[in-house]
This record gives sequence, structure tokens and C-alpha cells, in this order.
Amino acid sequence: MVLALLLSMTAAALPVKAQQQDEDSKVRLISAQSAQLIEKDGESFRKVVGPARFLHNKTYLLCDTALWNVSTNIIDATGHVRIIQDKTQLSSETLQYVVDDNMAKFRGSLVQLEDKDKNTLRTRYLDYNTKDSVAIFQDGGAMRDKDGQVIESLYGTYDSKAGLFVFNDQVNLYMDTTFVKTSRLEYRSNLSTAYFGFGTDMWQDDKMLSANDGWYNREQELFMFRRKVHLLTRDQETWSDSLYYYRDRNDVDMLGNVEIMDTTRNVYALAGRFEYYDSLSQVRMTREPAVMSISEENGKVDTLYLGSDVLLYRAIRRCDIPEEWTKASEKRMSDIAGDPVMEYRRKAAEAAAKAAEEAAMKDPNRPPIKTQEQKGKKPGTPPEAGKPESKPKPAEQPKPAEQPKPEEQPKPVAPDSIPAPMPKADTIAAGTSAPADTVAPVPLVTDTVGTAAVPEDTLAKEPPKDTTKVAFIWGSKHVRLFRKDMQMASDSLSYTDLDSLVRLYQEPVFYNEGNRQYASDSIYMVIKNRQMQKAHLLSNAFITIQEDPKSYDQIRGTEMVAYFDSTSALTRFDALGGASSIFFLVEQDALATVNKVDAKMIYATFSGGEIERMYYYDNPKNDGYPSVQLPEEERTLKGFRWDPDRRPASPEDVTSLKPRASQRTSYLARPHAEFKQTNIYFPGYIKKVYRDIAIRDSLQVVRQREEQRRRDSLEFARADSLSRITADSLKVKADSLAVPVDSLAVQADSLSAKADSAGVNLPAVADSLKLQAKDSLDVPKPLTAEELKAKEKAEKQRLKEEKAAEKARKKAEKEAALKEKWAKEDEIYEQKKAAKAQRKLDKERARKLKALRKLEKRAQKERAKFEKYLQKEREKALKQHKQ
Amino acid sequence: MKKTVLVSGGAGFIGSHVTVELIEAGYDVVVADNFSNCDRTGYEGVKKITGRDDLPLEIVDFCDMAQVKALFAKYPIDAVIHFAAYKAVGESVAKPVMYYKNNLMSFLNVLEAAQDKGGCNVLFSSSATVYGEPEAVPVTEKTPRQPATSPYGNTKTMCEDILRDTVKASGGAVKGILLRYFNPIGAHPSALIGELPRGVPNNLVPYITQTAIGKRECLSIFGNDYPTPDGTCLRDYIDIVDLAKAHVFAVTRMMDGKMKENCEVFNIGTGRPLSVLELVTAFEKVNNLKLNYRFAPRRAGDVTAIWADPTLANTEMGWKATRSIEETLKAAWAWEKHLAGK
Repeated sequence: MVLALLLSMTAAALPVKAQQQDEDSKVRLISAQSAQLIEKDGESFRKVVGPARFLHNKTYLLCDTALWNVSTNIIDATGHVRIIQDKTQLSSETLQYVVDDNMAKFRGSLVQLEDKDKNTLRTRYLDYNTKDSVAIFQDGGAMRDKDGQVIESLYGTYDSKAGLFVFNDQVNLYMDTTFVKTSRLEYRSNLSTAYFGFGTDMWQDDKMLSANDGWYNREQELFMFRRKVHLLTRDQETWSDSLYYYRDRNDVDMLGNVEIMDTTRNVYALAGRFEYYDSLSQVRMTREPAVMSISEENGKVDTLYLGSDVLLYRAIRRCDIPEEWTKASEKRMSDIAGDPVMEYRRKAAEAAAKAAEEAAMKDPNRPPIKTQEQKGKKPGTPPEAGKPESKPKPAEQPKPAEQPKPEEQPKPVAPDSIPAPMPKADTIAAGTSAPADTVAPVPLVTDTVGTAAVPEDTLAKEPPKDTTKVAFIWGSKHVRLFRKDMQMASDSLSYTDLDSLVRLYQEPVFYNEGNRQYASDSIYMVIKNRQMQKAHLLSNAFITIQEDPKSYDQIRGTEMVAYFDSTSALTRFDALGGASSIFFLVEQDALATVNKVDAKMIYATFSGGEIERMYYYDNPKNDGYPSVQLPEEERTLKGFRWDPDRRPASPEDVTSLKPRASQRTSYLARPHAEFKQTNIYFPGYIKKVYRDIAIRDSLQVVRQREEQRRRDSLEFARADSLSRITADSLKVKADSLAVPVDSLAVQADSLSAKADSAGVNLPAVADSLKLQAKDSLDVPKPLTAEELKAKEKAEKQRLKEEKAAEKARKKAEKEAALKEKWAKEDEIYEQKKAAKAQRKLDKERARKLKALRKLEKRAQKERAKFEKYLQKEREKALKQHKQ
Repeated sequence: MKKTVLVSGGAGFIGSHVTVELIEAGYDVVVADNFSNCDRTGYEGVKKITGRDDLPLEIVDFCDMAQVKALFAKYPIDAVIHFAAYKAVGESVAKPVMYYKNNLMSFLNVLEAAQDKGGCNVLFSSSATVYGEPEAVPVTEKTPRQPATSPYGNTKTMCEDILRDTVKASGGAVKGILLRYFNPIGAHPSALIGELPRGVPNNLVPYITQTAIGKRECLSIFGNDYPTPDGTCLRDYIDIVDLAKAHVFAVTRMMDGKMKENCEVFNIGTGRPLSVLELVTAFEKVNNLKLNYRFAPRRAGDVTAIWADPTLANTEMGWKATRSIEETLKAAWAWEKHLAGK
């Protein structure tokens, strides 16, 4: 039987105290199955059997049974207890409702609060103030929202009106694959914002972030952390005063004392602000930014500091790099690839050799030119076509050791994994055109290619994109660089992996070896293995070497190239175009003489910091002055520059920020978020979360592997199809050859009858030729899987063999080049020997001739003397005869 | 001398494909089936594909011990591949006794006959269902089994245990291999044999092909809010021909005495997870048609994601799934069209 007790009835039955309060504060029993008044221990109770429904503070209390102490005004409710206030609902097995305090005290194995936003809080101990709409829970509780976010703690409050959850002590949070552990957390459901307290640790994948304060706005997907922010990833450790993380874009903005330590590359980034834009793969560092790079060679540690007002780093996929950037880079590479001095010298040497040869040809006493056989030249060393047989070295040629090694020259960087261009149709056609008089026309190559058994999906598809990341670095304003052996300053800096050139713009200057300064309008530095190998000083190049406070060695040129060894010491410089120099020469420990030279080019080599050799080209004008007599204005070249103040003298001149010691171990030792309360109140949920993350990670691995496999197979298919095209083009060539073969066969057939009589078996030869031609015309059948496998195997074998053949070919080429070199050297030696012998012979001949002439002269003299004597004797005899 | 393999349930979906591959690998095969769950299409298809009109067929109820013993007496059986079982999950929940009785009894009879014969190689067709919802994916053979959620799943777990115990007790006379299949789909490239569901298909691909051909109005994809890239469940779909070949590798391994243990377990899957939506899309693409499908709420008991780590089968048995999903779905569609007489 159902009894409905109406509102009016309950109002009359309420305790006296309620009458003094306003209508809202009165408890009203709205409905129940039965209600009876009982007396126990001198106290009055109203026992209500339900389902019962009470109303107080605009809040409904529902339960199976309730015992209402009229004296204390406390309702003890049991069985399916629920409190419903607006859209907030609390439920439990038992409830004690202290009417005067407006306090609902929930106790039981499971107390649940669900608010209007479908946030579900579960605990075992919860007090709810029906007037203020505030809940307080103790002894642990966990809350889960409609999106699966979970927060748990030992204590907490919930303000329904403000939509504010506060969690205290052992707070753990899970949201969107992120785990957080903190001491305090406030969650404002109306703002969708969670505020973190002291000692916050956050984990996502292999990243860990720690801070002492912060918040997360779920709608904006924005995290903010401050106070001792520390971020740990597998390879990096980061510190900052505050950090903003834009989760949706994966962008990061760090402010104040930012430091990033990259342990794999031994690089530190320091800045007042560090912005990372994920979509661009770009880092922007401002507020005294600097990068420290630590290198170690032969146990010697060296640190490079680079700073500027703004440092920008960007990694771009090679396939996304604009073409004009690549072209510009290639142009830069080609601009600096040559060696103007060596080129000049080579040309001069060639001209000298030519002149010497011409002179030798004109020499009547020249020795006869030997033939190859006569020279006993080694086989396989034919003279190069169009080149003179011998190139005598010019007398001023420096030693080979002084020449820059070929490997020092930067080579143009070929883009990785860009497939070789397909052979052009006309190129193939050129090789396949049969002679016009050989009967059948050769099919067009385009047709052949078109009908080749190339899988449609290989060539038709785009080649796999080259996703290799290429680094770009820009430094803007007040660029400074400090390393023990080199320092630098410029207005701006630019670097890219495309050409490995560090480019300095606007009054760049760098220093090394204590007293050397290199300046020009812009400088390109060639970096290899973290070492500067070469610097191109472009436009108004000027090298200054301070000898004493008033004396500077100077080299000036339109352009200059400086070469450095592994210690950044200058080993060579080339001053090109309108070169001038001033050098102070030491005599008896004093700068006694000044040598001034003007030339088209100056080439100098250095050893141990001192000039070793110096060459001037094209009518050098050389003047020497006593140092003391040289007027002050002539002690410097035009455009003289000496800027010691711009030189960063220490790391502090680059940045005032200091790198921190690693805290990786201590942070890693921090315990991970453990969801003890969640495991109690939402059993299996965290396990499912971990499982979902594991699935996501595994799937990522599988997909990456599949993508790699797909790329590999596409590459293979492309290579295969290209090799087929090549094979087809060869086939076409074979076909075109087969045509003359056929015509030969026809001729052979026609001749066979005649030849038979002569006993020559020409038809057999012709048949065999026909057979060969026929074989080459066979159209490949579609391949089965096994055949394809075998073909792939064969293809691999072929590639292997080709590789081996290529290796052997290169080796042979190297050996041949070596042999040629030796042959040339032998030849030069022979020539020298012959020339020497000739000179000796000529000398001997001259000596003998001289001796003969002398003898002849003496004989003539003696003959004359004898003649004279005879004459005298004759005259004497005649005289005597007359007498 | 040719070895003889008994295929119980050899006229069914998997059984018929395995029979084809065994014959093509040079084995003598005895097909045994009671046609309680299929018709003769599979058997006749096998004969056409292999050209073996003399393919032995024994109509045997494996729950009847006398019939099983007679079968073993009649043929010099070197190995048994046991497929004969009920397989509808939903039905097993409704009729657990029928399932336990049929699936366990039939297998027990096979094992008893094998023991009586003095030993035999037994290959049991198990299922990835024994892994339940695993803690981590992909699942290896070492991944712990989870309590079954249906009597059908439980019969697989129990039969695995029964075979293990029997092998152990036989002292090596009986050798066993458990193949845990993931999601077999597709049909023979000849389109002469394939999956032939009775009534409403329980499996996805027959449902797809029947919807495509117009037998079903709309395909329901259960759940698009799973924590997966497209929100639908991830599965490891293995081509039926690849799966059948795995049996040949397993039987050969047993016959050649290459087993490292007397009872071995192998996962038979591709190792490549594919979502339900990806499968549907792939079907539409390769067969150039549009499928009428809709998303329905999640279905109770469906695991979010499961796929195999087939490394052990790849390295130990030398078997590897080779057919692409495109080939598989083309074959499935060809089979459906064959059934429709198109």
C-alpha cells in the first residue's frame, strides 16, 4: 500500500524550531509509504518507511527508510540514499542529515557525487552542506569526468555553486595520456581549468615535467607551469622559470633562465625566452640567447659559445625546402669551390710549359723526340689527348705539401635519396637508331618503354619524399662567438646543413691566435667536424696581425680565403684582386724594416704562426723602408681595421647565463603517480588507460615499420622499373643490332649456296646469329611469385655484382691514375736526365771546341811565328847570299 | 611414401582451404565431416581446385567414439588436424552444454583414438580469443591467457589444456601443435571455396560482402569511439590461404621431427593491425564499390585492439603471411559473387 503524505501534513509535524525559520529552511517530508512517531529513551523519533522523499534547502533527500530524531533534528537515512540539489546528485547507502547545520553526512562503502557537468566523485566519507552546496570528502576519493579525466586525493572539497573541486594530499590526475602527481589541485569545472600546487610532477610518454605551481586549461589545451620548471626527455633536460605548453599545437614557450641540455649532442641552449613551434619545427631564442657546444678531441674538452639578440633554429624536411633555397646553396657551394690561386698557377705553369716546348722545338741542338717504345713507357699509360706530353714545373712552384689538399675543397652536397633521373627518350633513341639501309625501322623507344613490363604502380606513383630534416640556424643582431682558439663578432649569422657554411653578415670579424683579426663585408666559413677549415672573406677583406701596439702586419684584398688547421691556426691565405700587404720584419729583435707590396694576388703559407712562404703575382710592386723612417700615415693600408673591443674575450661576453648541473637522476627517482583511490572507486579504469596507451604506442611502432617497409618497397620497385627500362633500352639496341644481323643472315643465306661449293658453313653461322637475334626479341612473360622472388634475388645479386664491378673499376681507375702519374714522373725524370746529359754533352762539346780553337789559335800563332821565323831566316839567308 | 593427414571438419571454411594446401604440398588427405554446420560446397570445391575427384570423404560424427576409432583403423593416419567444432560465440552463450559436449567430446575422442593407435601428431585449431583483452599488444605466445568470456572461447582454452596434458602423459607418442588464429578472412583465389555462413554472419567480412551484394541492407560497425586512430576496433586479419599454409608448415614440422617441444604454440597472424573502418574502406576501394554502413554503439565483449606477434611462427616454422589485404578482399568479393552466381 502506498501512502502519500502531503506537504501540508509534514509541515505541521515539524519541530518547533523550524517554525522560527523561513520556509526554505524547513524540512518537509514529501512522500513515504508510512510515517509513525515513536518514543525511545525519552526521545521522539519519526520513523519513515519509503521510498521516502524529504525537501530541505531546495534539496531533495530520498531513501528507503529514515529515522528522524525530533529532539536533535537529525535524520538517519538508510537504503538507496540520494540527495538531489539542482543537477547535483549524491548517493550512498547511509546518510545522517543534521538539519540545523544543513549538513548531510554520507558514510558507506561507496558515496557518489555527480554534478551537472557529469563529474563523478566517489569516496567513503563525504559531508555535504545543502545550503552552501559544498561537499567535503576525507579518507580518499576519486573523481572522473565525462571525458575520462580522473583526479584523486586523500582530502578534498567540492563547491557546487562555484563549480570548484579542491583536492589535497596525494593528488593524482590523469587526463589525455598525461599523468600528474601533486600536493594540491583545484579544478574549476566552469572554467575547465585545473590549478596545480607545490611539488607537481607530470608524465607524458617518455617526458617528465616538474614545477611548483601551474594550471591547465582544458578548453584551450594550454598548460602553464612556473617556479622551478624542469622538463626531462630521453635526450634532453630543460629548466626555466615558467613554461607554457600549447597541447593542441605541441608548441612550447619557456620564460626566464631557460636552459636546454642536450646530452646526446653535448649542446646547451641558454636564453631568457625559448619558443618552440612544432608545426614549423622551429625554435626561437631571445633575451640573451646563447648556445654552448662542447666537443672533445684527444681527451681535450673545448667549448664553443654562440650568442646573439635572436637565435632561430629550424629543421625542414628536405622535400619541403623551397627550390630557390637549394639553388642558392648550390651557387654558394660552387662560388667557393675553386682555388683561384692554384688555378692561376696552373694556367701559368701550362703557359710556361707551352713556351718551353716551343722554345725547345726551335732549338737546333734539341735532342730527337723519343717514341713510346723507345722510352720504354709502361703499358696502359697513353698520353692524354689534347694535352702536352710533359709539363715541366715552373721554378716558383711551391712544394706539393703547401698546396691545399683536394679533400679540403667543399663538395656540392647531393640531396639524399633523390632518384637518378630517368633516361630521356631521345637519348635512348640516339643509341638505338639503326642504319637507314638496314631494312626494318627500329621501333620508337617511347613505345618500347610504354610496353615494357613495368608495374603500373611503381613509376606512376610519386617517388617517396625525402623527409630527412635539414637544419637552418639564424642569428640576428650582435652575434658573438667564443672559443678558446677563435672568437667572432658580426651583426647576423646564417647556417644550413645544405652547404655546411656559416655565413656572417654586416661587419663580420673574427680573431684567432691571439693577435689576428679577419674582417670583410661578409664571411663564409666552411665547417667540418665542428672545426673551421676555411673562411672566405668576401668584399673589402682585411687581415690584421698585431705585431706590437703600434705595428700591424696587414693584408688587404677584394676577396680573401683563409685556411686553418685543427687548432684554428692560420695555415694559408690567398688575397685576391688588388691585393696589398704591409709586413714588419724583425731584425735583431726589433721591427726594423717595413715591406710593402702591391700585387694582383698574394698567396702565403704559415707555419707555427709565422709566415713560411709568400708569393706575389702579376707585376708585384715591392718596396722596403726602415721602420723608423716610415711616416705614421703610411704604416697602415687603406681601410685599415683593428677592432679589439669587438672581440669576445670570455664566455661571459657571449652570455651571462650559466649552465646548470644535471638533475636527471634525482628527478627520475621521483615516484610515479599511483592511482590508489581510482583503483578502489573506478576499478580497472587506470589499467584500461595504460592498456590504451600501450595499444597506441604499439600501433605507432607497427605503422612506422609499415611506412618504412612501404617506402623501401617503393624504392625497390622504382629501382627495379628503372633497371627494366635500362634493360629495355638495351633490348632495343640489341634489336637494332639484330636488324643488321638479320641482313647479314640474309646475305649469308644468299651466299651460302656459293659458299657451300667452297666448303664454308656460312648458314650455320648465320643461323646462330639469327638465334641470338631471336633470343633478344623474346617478350618477357608475366612472372609468377616464385619467379619474381628469383628475379628479386637475381636483381640483388646483379646489384651486388655491379657494386663489386664498380669497386673494381674504381680501383683499376685509381691504379691506372697512379700508373699514369708514375709514368709522367718517369717521363719527366727521363727528360730531365736527357736534358742534363745533353747539357753535359753540349758543355763538353763547347769545352773541346774551345780547347780546339785555343789549340788552333796557338797553332796559328805558332805557325805565324814559325812563318815569321822562316821569313826572317829566309831574309837572313838572302842577305848572306848577297853578301 | 606419402603421409596421410586426417582433417576433421575438412569441409568447413578453414578445413577446406587447409585440405587444398595439404594436397598441393603432396600429402594424402582424408576429409572427415558430419556436415552439421556446412554443406558439400567446400568439399566439392576442393576436388575442383585440386583435381582430386578421389579425395576421400568420411562422414563422421567425432562425438561418436566408435566412428572415430573406425576411421583411425581405416586409414594410416600420420597427423590429425582438428577443426570439427561449433563456433558461434552467441549460440555458445545460449547453449553452453551443447558446445562443451560437442567441442570437448569430439576432441577427446580424437586424442583417445590417437593414443590407442600408439601415437599421432595432433594439430589443434585454437584461437586468439584465449588472450581475451591483453595487457599489451602485439600478443606473443607467452602473453597470458585471460578467462574466456563465452563457452566457445572456454572450449578453446580447455582443448589447449587437454592437448598439453595428453601430450605430456603420452611421453612423446602424441605430439601437438596449437595454432592460435587471429581473424581469418577471404576466400580461395579460385572463388570455388570460401566462408559460407548460415543465417546472419557473425564475422565481419561475410557481412561486408553480403551487404555489398544486397543480401543485407546495412553493415553496422560497433563502436567508433574506441581509443584507436579512427575510433573503431583494431584486429589482425589473416588471409585464409596464408592461414591454411601455416597448417602445412606445422604438419611438416611435426612429421619431420623438427619440434623443439612435444607441444608447441604458434600465433597465426600478420602482425599488422587493421581497424574495422580501414577494412571496410579497403574493401570499397579494391572492389570499386560503395558500402552502406553505419556506426552502432559498442558491442559488449569486444576488445579494443588485438594483433599478433607472429615472430615465432615466422622464425621457427618458416611461415609468413604473404597475401595483401587487397588480394584477400578481392578474393572475398569474388567468392560472394560466385555464390550469387554473378
